[in-house]
Parts: sequence; structure tokens; C-alpha cells
Amino acid sequence: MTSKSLCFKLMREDIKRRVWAVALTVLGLIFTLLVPVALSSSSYMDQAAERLVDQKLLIKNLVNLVGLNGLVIAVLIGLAVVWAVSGFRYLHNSRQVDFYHSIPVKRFQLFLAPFLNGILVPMAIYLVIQLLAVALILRTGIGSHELGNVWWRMFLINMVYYSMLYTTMVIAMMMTGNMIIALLGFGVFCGYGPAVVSLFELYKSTWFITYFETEAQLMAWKRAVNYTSPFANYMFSLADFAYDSLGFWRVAGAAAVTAALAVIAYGLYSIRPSESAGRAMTFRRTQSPIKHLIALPVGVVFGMFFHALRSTLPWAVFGVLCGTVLTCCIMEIIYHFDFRKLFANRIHLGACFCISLLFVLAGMYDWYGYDTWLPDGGSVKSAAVIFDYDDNWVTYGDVDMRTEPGGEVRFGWKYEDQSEYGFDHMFLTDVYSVMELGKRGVEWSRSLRSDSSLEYWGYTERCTVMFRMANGKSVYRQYWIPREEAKPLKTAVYDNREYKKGIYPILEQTGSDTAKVCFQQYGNKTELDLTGEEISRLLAVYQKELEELSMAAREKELPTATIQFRTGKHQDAVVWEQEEGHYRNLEDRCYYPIYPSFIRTLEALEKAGIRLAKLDKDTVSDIRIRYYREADDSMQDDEYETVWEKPWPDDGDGSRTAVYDSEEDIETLLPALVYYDYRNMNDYYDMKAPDNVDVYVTADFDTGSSFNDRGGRSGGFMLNLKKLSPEDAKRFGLAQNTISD
Amino acid sequence: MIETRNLTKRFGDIVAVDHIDAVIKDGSVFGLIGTNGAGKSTFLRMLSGILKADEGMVAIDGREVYEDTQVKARFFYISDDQYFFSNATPKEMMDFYCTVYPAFDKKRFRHLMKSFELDERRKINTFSKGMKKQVSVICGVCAGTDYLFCDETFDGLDPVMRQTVKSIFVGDMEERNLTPIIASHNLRELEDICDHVGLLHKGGILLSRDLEDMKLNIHKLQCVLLPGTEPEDIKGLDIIKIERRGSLCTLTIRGNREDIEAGINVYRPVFAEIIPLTLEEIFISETEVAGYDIKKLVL
Repeated sequence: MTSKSLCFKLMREDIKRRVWAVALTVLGLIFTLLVPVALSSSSYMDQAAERLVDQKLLIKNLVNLVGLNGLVIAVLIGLAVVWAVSGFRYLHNSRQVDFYHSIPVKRFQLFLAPFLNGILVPMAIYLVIQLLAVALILRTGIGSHELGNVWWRMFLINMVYYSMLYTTMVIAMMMTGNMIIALLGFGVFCGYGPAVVSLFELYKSTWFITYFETEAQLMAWKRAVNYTSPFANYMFSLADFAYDSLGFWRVAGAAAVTAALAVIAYGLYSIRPSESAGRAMTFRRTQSPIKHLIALPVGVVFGMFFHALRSTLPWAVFGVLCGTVLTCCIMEIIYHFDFRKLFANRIHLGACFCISLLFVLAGMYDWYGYDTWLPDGGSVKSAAVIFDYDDNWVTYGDVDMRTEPGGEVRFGWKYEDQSEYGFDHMFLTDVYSVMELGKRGVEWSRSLRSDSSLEYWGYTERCTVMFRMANGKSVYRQYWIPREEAKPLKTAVYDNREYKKGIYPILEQTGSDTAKVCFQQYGNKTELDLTGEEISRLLAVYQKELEELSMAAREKELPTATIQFRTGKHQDAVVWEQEEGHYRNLEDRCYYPIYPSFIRTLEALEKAGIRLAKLDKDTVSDIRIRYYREADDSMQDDEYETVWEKPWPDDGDGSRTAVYDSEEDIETLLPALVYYDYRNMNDYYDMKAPDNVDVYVTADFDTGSSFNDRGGRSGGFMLNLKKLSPEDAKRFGLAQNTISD
Repeated sequence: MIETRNLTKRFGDIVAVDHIDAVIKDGSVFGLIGTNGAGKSTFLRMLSGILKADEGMVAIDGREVYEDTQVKARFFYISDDQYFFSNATPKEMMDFYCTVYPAFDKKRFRHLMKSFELDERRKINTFSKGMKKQVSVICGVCAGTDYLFCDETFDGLDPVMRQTVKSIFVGDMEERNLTPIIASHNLRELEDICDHVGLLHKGGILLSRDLEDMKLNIHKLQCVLLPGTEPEDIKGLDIIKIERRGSLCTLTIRGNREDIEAGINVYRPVFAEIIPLTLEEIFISETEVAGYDIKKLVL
């Protein structure tokens, strides 16, 4: 008998004994794929006939059922385990092993027959059911062009990853002699890599005060998670498929890995001793390494966990002890199937404890010197520094244009992290201030490490620094620095033009990139009708003045208006939003402030026909102040007297609104008026505002626009008490103890 | 011919089979006896190519067994608790064995199933322990192999069935030179069928002899000696054991029948008769010589 025909015969015999698995596969896929498609198709036909619903949505839902169907994916993952276990469970039973290994069949064929069945049978069943589902969808009248190639691509991807998970489970079966242990082993294969990679990240972020995770590191972490677990790899691929970014080579790579895993599985099968049936682990040599590989990270995690609870050394040691003892004991019990063997290997336990503790202590006391590291100024080629919450009104990223399967074009916004943008575009060659920031940060991190009770939220400022070293390396650190110490250094950094290039994307924009200019003041938008040359000129003027903007100017001035330079793609997106009637999400992005000191920009705008609106006694007809009594319970009644004695009615929610429409009141209040949006664009503006009031202004500008803000707080005004005398503040009921900077 | 050389198998710290050298000739019945845990099953599993030897080798006609399908096709292994597919019927097992043993005799299988009054379409898991043993023996003899490895196969069979199976073995030995290798902890079970016996103890082989040779070389003599003559006084005979019951003495003597008769006649006994030894008795004698107490080892 040729080995080929014997293999087929063995496959047939194997299937006879696993009819239940076949039935399970058929049922599982019918109920998660065929039945939902049938139900949705039927519903689609009914609703399409009555023209009740959005056809596109229905088609999309139907296509998703043969595409990215979560239930089918869950069933396939379950089936991978079921087929692997049912195919090789005989290896865990000595009677069955004796039976199979005594018959005159080579081990290769004994392995191949159930192994192939575990892939080919579910594949055939899935293909048939998928085809039936596609046929049902086509029967509804949906064309094949609408269905696209999703169904067969998804079939291919699911089968490749099914095979990968299945082969992983087969390896788990080979490496163990007990089904429960094999399932645990599968869990380890799927979860260990991501867990350890994540622990590595957690370790750094827990112990290193100056550690900063960059986007690149986050991507590296994702990649590591992706490539250390078949399950994670499957999930990442599905996510990429959903975003249409799963390339052929990724799937081909997964298939190649599956093939390699299959070779490993056979290799393990061929060297697997028959007598290992019923034991926990097939290969005794693997026991210690596996135990250590699990016990060490668990010990470290427990140590970190208990340290996080009490922040003391004894608790960290206790945590490490708990983690290593529990893990080692559980592993020994599993290995021996005997509870009394829990301390079977005390030397290993002791070694695990010591090594885990060493890791925890090294992190706790920063034996690596991570937090105290500071480069030598001469070895730094350039640097980038990002201050938290600074200028967070700036929009980073770009318009994202996507073509849907049906050919429809959609626009969105692809966000970019502020830090990432800064690291890419900021090249501070004068690194003195950055080095000084680093020194202060190192000092503070030392203090924080020696006294973990130190409060730093609100008291310190966080900045993230990227050092570009002369040797080509980039080193990232985050520093916490007391605000008062940081202020002069921050001012020096801000006044550097190289810094602004790293925080204002507009400074990288060119006239040729720019399609449209929009001006906005107090919520009124104006699109400027400019030629390309005029746009370029205006952009250049604005860029220069923005570059020259100093911290001192920002402390004194608030923006007077905002300006937007739309790129061609941005303009397309805005037009698309308007035409499609979508919520205008993209239209308001990328506005930049125009400060009163931007003389040349304002002149250029004036030339372009823009007239600035001014808030003065001629344009403002009233200013209303809404006082909230419950804003601060500690406020004494007499502090409200001024307002409360007045005859304004209660608003019904514990607040009262005073309307100031006399010329005198308006003139007094006008200098103190601060427009929220503009204040949000300049956190450095020197002002004090009461927390318990909302301010509304009614104005008619001579530009033809008007302002009647009767809405809520957003878009409204604030009052700067520094522009009011104490008597006026008292007169307007603005309590001093509820004032914030 | 099956030959093992320096065959060793360890399970952790336990040496299950300890450097065994043995030769099993074709066409004879080889009995492998020993206590539970002596290493009989391990030895058979190594002969069957299930277990890989840690040291030494197992060969059939000079070819190593492990992973050689051609060699493995020459034997059929019946374990002490034979595995049948779940919910399988004897017919389904036959179909499977047909796939892997090309010489499987379906006709004989059906015939034997009928003879043993076993329903080939009934699920095996509904059979009694003895019936399952019968099915496994039938499968084994129908596989058409040169060797049949039986691990405690007679355990669980009633005496009639045991004799029937033995007669099937004898028939196959005559017809097609079948060589059964039977492992058992029961000496009496093997006595009337074995040609050659190997005694295993603690993984090692204590002795391996042809039963006939052993029987011809050791005898039991019952005699009544003349008054004043004690069995200890007898010279010229290799007496290895003396038992007395009144004036009747039972002597176990090593040597051939003629020499013993001649040797005893010198002392003109009142009564003397040579009677055959049971396998158990032979083993008792042989192992005692080897320094072991067989009753502790086997019975």
C-alpha cells in the first residue's frame, strides 16, 4: 500500500471517529453565518420592497456577515481548539497511544492524517456555507460588485489564522500529556508574549519617573504583542482588514508561520515519548524553563502590585514572595498532579524569588540610573521639548480621505499626537534651556523617589524632552518641574523660533499647499476671496509674526481674531461636509490666533476686505452676568448682597442674572471682557476670573455682523478682575475668593 | 526471530527494563512471566515499537522495530486493556485493521466472531471484559502477522475460552508458523502452552529457558527409603530440595530421568516414583538456585 493511499485511508478512518466535530462545525457555522445571512436577506428584501430603509446600510450589514463577522471568528477560534484536541487527544491516553503506536503506520502518517483533517474538513465546511451565504445575498438582488471580494478574502484570512491557532493548539497537545494542561498551554502560547511585553512597558512606566512612551514605542509594543501571539496576530489582522490595510504579504507571512508551526508540531510528535501520556508535560526538560518563565514575571507583577498599594519595600517583597511562591507551587502541583509536591523544588522557588525581587528592587531604587541620566550638552545635536497642556487648541494631523468598498469617498481627520509632531518638527539647536529643564527634572525625580508622598499634580509642570544625540540616537525623557522653576526656562524655549516650528503646523505650510483662507471673529466666519499669490503673501506674513510671537506678548495680549489656511484636501473635505449635510466637524479645524500685535497680518486682512469688529460702548448694548450661588458653598451671604439685594428674579436653578445695559456699567466692564475661545488660545494671558459667573454680551458690530450670546458658557465671555478695581468688582458682585487664574 | 540486546528503559528514576538480552525463536510460544511491575508490559511495548529504548535494541530478523513499518507489520500487539474506538463495533475495528494490516483475514474474522458467539455489529463498549479480550484476540489472529504479542491476554477469559484461544494459537503455529509471545503474572496460565519461558524481575531477566529443557533436567522423586536411610545420606544425586511427610520423602533432583533412577536404586528404596514437575515447581527450583524466592516473585 502506498503511503499516500494509506494516508487518505487514515484520514477517512479519522473522520469516522470525529463525526461529532464535523457536526459541531456545521452547526456552529450555520447558526453564525448562514442563518444570520438568511434572516438579514429576508429582512432586506421586505424592507427594500417597501423602501423603508437606507439600502446602503442594509447592504453593508449583509456584506459584513460574510466579511468581518465576529460570531464566525469566535466560532472558528473555538473550532481550532476542538479539532486540535479531538485529533490528538489519544496522545494523552496510554491505552490509545499503545494502540496507535503499535500499528504498522509511520508516525508521520499518524500525525498527518488527523492534522490535515483538522484543517481541511472545517475549511471545506466553511467554504460551502460561505458560498451558500453569498448565494443567498446575491438572490436578494445585490450585485456582485456591491458584494465585492470581501467574502473570499475574509474566508482566506479566517482560514489562515484558523490554521495558525489550530497548529498552536496541536503544539500544546504535543507538549503536554493532559488535556486541561494542553488548554492551559494554549492559553500560555496565546497570552504569554503579550503579557510579558506589556509587563515590560508597565515596569518602565511604573518605576521610571522620567520614562516617556513615544508613539514609536507604542507601535513597537503593538508590534511585539502582534508577533508574540497567534491570537493577537489574528486580532490585529482583523483590525487591519477592517481598515482595508491588511496586505497580501501579511496573510502570506501568517501562512508561512503556520507552516513552520506545523513542522514544529510534527517534530515534537516524532520525538514525543509514548510514555508521556497522562503526564502534565511531555518533555521533562521543558518543565523548569516554563516554570521560571511564568514565575519570574508573575513575581515581578505581584511585587509591583503590592508596592502600588502601600509604596513600601516590605510590601513589595511580600508581593514578590506571594507571586513566586504561588506560581512555583501551582506549577509543581500541575507537574506532579499531587498537592503534596507543592514545594518539590525549593531551589527553583528560591531562585525565582531572588531574581524577581532583584528586578523589583532594581526598578524601585533605579539601579539602572534611568531617571538620573542626563546627556552631556556637547553630545546633544538638537532637542525637542513639549510642555503639557500648552497650546492644546492646535490641531495636529491631516484630512483623511477613504474610499469605501462601493466607491464612495469619505473624509475624516487622522489625528496626530502633539508630542509626535513636535519630535518630528522641532530642532532646538540651542539646548541650554532644555538641559536646564532636564537638570531640574532629575532633581525633582530624585525628590519624588525618596518621598513618594510628594504632591506634584497642579504644583509641577510636565515637559517631555527628546534629545537627538550626536551618535544618531534619540532619547526621550519626561520631567516634572515645579512651575516657578520652569517658568523662565519655558519662556526662553518659547521665544525660540525653532520651538514654534515644532508646535504650530501652520509654520510648515506653503502657499502652494493653501487653497483657501478663512477669517473668524466672535464666531462669525468669512471666507476670503484671494488669489494664490495673495494667499501666499498673507500666509508668509502670518507665519513670520507667529514665529516672532514672544511669551511676554502672550502674557499681555489675547487674540483678537482667528485665521485658517485650508489646504486643498481640507477644502475638499469641507465642501464634502457641506454637500453631504454632515455635521461640520472638519470646517472648524486649524484656526490660528491673530494677536493685536500681528500688525502686518491685520493690515493684509484689511486689504483683503476684512473689517475687525470691536467691542465698545457703541456696539455693545448689554452685558449680562449670571451668578451662581452654589458655585462655592463657603461664600458668605454678604458677598452676594450686592447682587442678591437687587430685584433680578431667580433663574430657577439657584442662579440670578443681572443685566447691565447702562453706558457706565458697560464702559466699566468692557476692558475686563475676555472671549472664552481666545482665552483658550492663550493660557499665558495674565488674568484672574471669578468661577461663579457666566458672562453674556449683546453687540451689533459696524461690520454688519452681530453678537448675541444667550447660550451657555461655551462661546461666551469671562471677566478679568485684574481689569476691574476692587470697588467695581464688589459693585458687580464678583467675589474675590472664587477667583482663579 | 526476535532479539533484544542490552534493552533498557527508564521512566524517570525507575528502571523498568534493565539491560535485557533475550532471543525469541520463531514458531514457539514464548511466555513472559513476572510480578506486576516486573517490566513485562514495558518489554512488550518495546518489542511492539511503542516505546523507544533508552539503551540497546529490539530487532526482528535483524531489523530494528522502532518506526520500521515493514517490521511492525509482522506483529500484532494486544495490550492488557486493548483500546477500541469509542462506540465502535467489532466490524468497524476490523475495517480499521484491514487498512493497516493488508493481510487481515476478514473471512476468518467473521467465522471466529460467530464461533465465539460475538455480534460483530454490537458496540464493543457494551461487551464484558472477557468478550472484549476475545475480540482483541480474534483481531490479533486474523491480522495475519508472524508474531502476536499478548499482554495478560488470558486474564479475564474463562477456562473454556482460554483453552479455545490456546487451540487457535496452536493451530496458527502449525498452519503459518505464528509465534505468540505471552506476558502473564500467572505461571499456571502459561504452563500448557509455552515452549520457552522468560522470567522477569525488577526489569531484569532472571532466566530464559526452553520449558522442555527445564523439564528434562529437573525431576521430582517420591520415595520411601529403607529404615535407617535418610535422604541426606544419598550420594551421587544433585538434590536441591527435600520434603518429608512421614516416611514418604519428596526430593527435587537436578538431572535426567535415567541417572536419577539409577542413583536412587543404589539405595534400594521401598518405593520410588518419578513424577513430572509443574512449571511453578520448576521455577521455584530454578529461581531458588538463582537466590530468589519465587513464591515472593510470582505467586
